[in-house]
Amino acid sequence: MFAFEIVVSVLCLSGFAFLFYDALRMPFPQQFWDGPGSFPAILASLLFVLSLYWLITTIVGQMRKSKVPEAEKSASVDTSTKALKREEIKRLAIIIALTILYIMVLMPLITFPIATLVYLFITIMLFTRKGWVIPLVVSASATLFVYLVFNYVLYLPMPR
Amino acid sequence: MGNEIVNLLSLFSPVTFLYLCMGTFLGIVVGALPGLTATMAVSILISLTYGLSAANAIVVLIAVYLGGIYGGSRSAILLNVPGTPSSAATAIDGFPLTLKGEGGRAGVVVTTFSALGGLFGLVILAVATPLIARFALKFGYWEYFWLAMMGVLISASITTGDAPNYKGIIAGFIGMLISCIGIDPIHGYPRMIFGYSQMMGGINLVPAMIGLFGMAEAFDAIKNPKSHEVMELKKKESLPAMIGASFKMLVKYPRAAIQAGLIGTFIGALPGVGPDIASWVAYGTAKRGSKHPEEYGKGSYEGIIASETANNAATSGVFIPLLTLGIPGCAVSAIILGGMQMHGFRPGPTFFFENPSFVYFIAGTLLLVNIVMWLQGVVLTSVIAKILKAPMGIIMPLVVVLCVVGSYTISLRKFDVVVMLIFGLFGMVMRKLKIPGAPMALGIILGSMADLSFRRGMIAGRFSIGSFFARPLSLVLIGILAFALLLPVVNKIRDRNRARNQNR
Repeated sequence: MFAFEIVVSVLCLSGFAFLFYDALRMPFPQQFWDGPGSFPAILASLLFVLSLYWLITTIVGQMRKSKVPEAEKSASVDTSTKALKREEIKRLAIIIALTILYIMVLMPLITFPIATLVYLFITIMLFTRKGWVIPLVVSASATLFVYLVFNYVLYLPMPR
Repeated sequence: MGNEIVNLLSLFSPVTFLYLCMGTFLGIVVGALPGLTATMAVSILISLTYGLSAANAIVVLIAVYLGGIYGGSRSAILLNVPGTPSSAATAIDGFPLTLKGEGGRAGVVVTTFSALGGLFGLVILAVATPLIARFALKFGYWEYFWLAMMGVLISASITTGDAPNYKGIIAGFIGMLISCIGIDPIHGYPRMIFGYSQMMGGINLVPAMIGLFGMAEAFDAIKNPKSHEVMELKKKESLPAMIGASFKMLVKYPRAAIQAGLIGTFIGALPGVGPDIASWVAYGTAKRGSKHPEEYGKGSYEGIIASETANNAATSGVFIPLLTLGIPGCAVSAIILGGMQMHGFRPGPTFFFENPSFVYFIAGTLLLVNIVMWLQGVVLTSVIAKILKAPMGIIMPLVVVLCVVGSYTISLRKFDVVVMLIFGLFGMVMRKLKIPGAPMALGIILGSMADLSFRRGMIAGRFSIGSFFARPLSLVLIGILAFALLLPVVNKIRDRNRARNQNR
């Protein structure tokens, strides 16, 4: 968590510094304050200061934590919690990867209804572990329902 | 003004009433399911209602919102898992009541008091709204700038939970920065588009909200699927007996109910706060003033009455700043405001006086939804308990598909789907870092108001920053903002000192 906070706060710091620079470069007709860059520049500078504060607080917090005796630290995180965390990360990685695949690859490749059927079937099968019959029935009926509702009830086009 | 005439008569159409009933039921179901929140449901539905008439679309959004806030109490009572954050306080006393075998009765009691809370808030809305709208006509650019800042900063300082306040402020300011993306409305200069022509029109609020609240929520639920076992409702009590008991509670705890109604409406009306905070404040206040504070946490009806009356009173309260100032009271009302704008309605001080029929329509919708919600909640107690058994592994992939479709239909661009996906991933990172999403939502919707008001205020004040501190109305708003920002800090210092004194 410490490393993650450090990475994100440093990314924020550099991102907001860049946005501040970008806002300053925007042209202004009379004075900087009524120009398009004024409000983004103020926000980016405030965000830069807040990110710096975030980074410093994270480091100081970690330094305080490191003073806690080793025995207390190891007792606080047991092996079952670690395994649970690993399982959670695995599930999260799978669903994110499948969703990106569904939106960026499957939808343009095999059209929305078929892509949805495939996506739902795989995800429901993976995350419910109820064989293939229930996932197939649920995914097929859900896809048909979405297709019919959008095309014939709401008259809205399907994503491509 | 929208293209379609929307007034109180629109509510008497059978189709609109059917949408109202369906929306309320959907809201209750979504709110009851842990992991699915009212914010998520409204954010996904906003684009799905695009094809409906303005009246039907707004009715559905309000019905889902109110139903969702109430629905959260059912899983809080039956599972000890609040369906929505606003029912977290209800779980403290609701679940012990279920363990005592009084889950059915507690369900009917919260249903009655949720509806009464909503109606209580509605009465205050009817009285306060014209007064605030008349007052708001005196606001200039400077006051609108401070109002927008108030919405974002108060939300940031209050909704951060156990995370430090600065993280909420970061989220709010990032939201404001996102709202600056695209063509500048004053000079027409493209801002922060970095060569992507699709970003010229800015980041659409709806895909961003769907990603932040819908997609992130779905990912989170799949990542951490808790096995929720619904407690059996041991004591079988007849429905009329439970309804009778719930109304007797009104005689038994009138102080807690009225106090919670007032707190809920007031907190709901504060820009950027909403029902989540209202329920906690009302619960705490009721406990402090109770004759039996020792019963709290062990199954106190007074406790669940306070929290549920307050959160539903807040759902009416959030419409006060929304209709009078065009400022949303919470994340969901920010999305509802987006929905109204999508159908051509732009609430604000002048809008209020030019379109009183639209305001009556909203009040009528709130009244009907509260009544329908009570009827459905009372009758469908056992059905809701069965719905709670639905596995997350099936529901959440369906939610992902709805997120994709919902974000596409708003302007038929694949770009919006990608925006939704990015915000979904962003939402996951924010959850991991304990950064709240609500301030970002308010930042996105209020950012352009703050930007335009700031720059126009600077021009009108001859480029003097002092003009933002010179008017009495501005000073009042700054005072309220400073008080709201400093209060959590003062409370934290006081708690720390108290803990230190106890340790000595």
